[in-house]
Amino acid sequence: MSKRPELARQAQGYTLIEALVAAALLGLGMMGAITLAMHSLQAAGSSRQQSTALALAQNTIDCLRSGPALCTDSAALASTGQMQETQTLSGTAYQINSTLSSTGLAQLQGLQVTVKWQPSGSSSPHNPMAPGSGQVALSTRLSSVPVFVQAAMP
Amino acid sequence: MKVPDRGAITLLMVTLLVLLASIVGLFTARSILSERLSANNGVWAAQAQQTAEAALETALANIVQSFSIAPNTFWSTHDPQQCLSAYTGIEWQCRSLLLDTGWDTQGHTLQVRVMRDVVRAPHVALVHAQARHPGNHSSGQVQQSIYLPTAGPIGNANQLTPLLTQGCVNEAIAGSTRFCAPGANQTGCSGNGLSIGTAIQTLYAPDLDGNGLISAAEQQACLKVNASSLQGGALVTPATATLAPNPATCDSAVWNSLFGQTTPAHIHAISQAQALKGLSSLTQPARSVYWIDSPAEWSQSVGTPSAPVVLVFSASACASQCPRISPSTQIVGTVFLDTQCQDSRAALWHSGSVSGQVALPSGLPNLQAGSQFLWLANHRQAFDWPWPVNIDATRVQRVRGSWKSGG
Repeated sequence: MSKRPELARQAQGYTLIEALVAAALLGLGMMGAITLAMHSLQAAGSSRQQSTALALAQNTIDCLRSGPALCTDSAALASTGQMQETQTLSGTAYQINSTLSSTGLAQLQGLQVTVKWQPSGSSSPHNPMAPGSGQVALSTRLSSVPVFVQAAMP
Repeated sequence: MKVPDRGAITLLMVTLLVLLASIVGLFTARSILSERLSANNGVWAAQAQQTAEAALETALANIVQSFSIAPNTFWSTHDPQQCLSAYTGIEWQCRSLLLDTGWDTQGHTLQVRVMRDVVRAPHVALVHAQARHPGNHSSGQVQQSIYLPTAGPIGNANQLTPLLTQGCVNEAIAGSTRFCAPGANQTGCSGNGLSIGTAIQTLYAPDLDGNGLISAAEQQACLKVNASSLQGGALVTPATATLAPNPATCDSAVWNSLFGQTTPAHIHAISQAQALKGLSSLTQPARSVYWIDSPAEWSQSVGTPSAPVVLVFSASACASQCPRISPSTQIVGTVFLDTQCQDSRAALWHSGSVSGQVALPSGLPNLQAGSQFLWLANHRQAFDWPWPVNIDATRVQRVRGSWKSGG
């Protein structure tokens, strides 16, 4: 008859240890899951920024290919061979640098467009030139071979 | 439930929760990894595409330079390996273009091919550029059609006659030839006898009395063809006196009226390209342009009403006398004799049977019996390649709306 209260006390002690182990296990698991989620979010943000930067680079090339006069700061490109522009999208600043270079042929120019940005989670997201920034670079060439445009009939 | 079991159940539940969280986390990570790979592939694909476009632009600039330096040598080769699968017919002439390597292709290998249809559009080339990156397996393709100065627009035809000369014409035997002028519906006189158009037109007739006008008598003296040969067709000379063609500076009035801006060099080059491709009257499509340097008599029947040809007997072929066309030979299309404005080179000529138009920058003395000149309205189809109105055909230009990527 006197053994029952003692067993109950021992059982309460076991429950506390099990609860502590469970809490520790849960804490570790949750920490891992949160870390994984944070990395995933960062990676997803980085991919989105890379895609945005790529679209900006392609837009710039398309603009310069179709008619430089319509592009921002195209006068600087014509005079100095360089054009710089910064666009902020979804809280990230993207710096677009376009550089024209001569080739061996008179009717042909080289064009390099580089887009830089500061990846998600960076301490200075508005400074694309800070160390560790992301970059997408596209190189192509532009020729001045004309397109025949039908002359307007009187 | 016994008290000790509660702890085990809690532990089990926590373990299951952690396991579940890990599985969700792993799947999320995998999804993010796929997204990153996709983003990287997007960048590689864009780089390949831009490199292909750079190759295309470089090719266009090279073509402009080639045509400004040596316009007649660009199409002197044909490599069937360079024809894309959609352009493997016998009429397609293809070649590769080697680009300068003095630029950063970012590890891409480049291939540029140029193709053209030597029968239907020898003045239009399709330029196809491809960039491949062996490391990341990305590739980009782009193509653009361009007008080439390998021919020119023919302009408006205003000499609707089966025989156009720049001098006088007479038959060796009166009434032994046949002229069929354009009929009322411009289809020729066969069958209905309604030859209301011009049977023979000359851009020069001698002003014998020196009064500055070409009278009816002077016209008859110049174009001495029996009425039975003309079958009702009219004779046309200039109303006023014109300068006699000078063999030393033989102008190209007849050539221009027929070929417009297409030069003899253009016709020669296209003829060579068609021969290089193995085109003949038996192939499909059939050869349409013949540049003939040989003085031998021509005895091959060529051309059909739906696919007329052009035969140019060059100055070399006509060096002493232009080659005759044998009596049984039928030509459907245009025949030009480059007599260098000398009547003697066309003397005693026989036309065989030409359905279309014969043109020469001189007279045609002693035309041989049996020669037949029959009008065909579409005789210039062989060299009337489609050009936009008002185009400057002397320059390389992009065909608007022909740019394509991928594929």
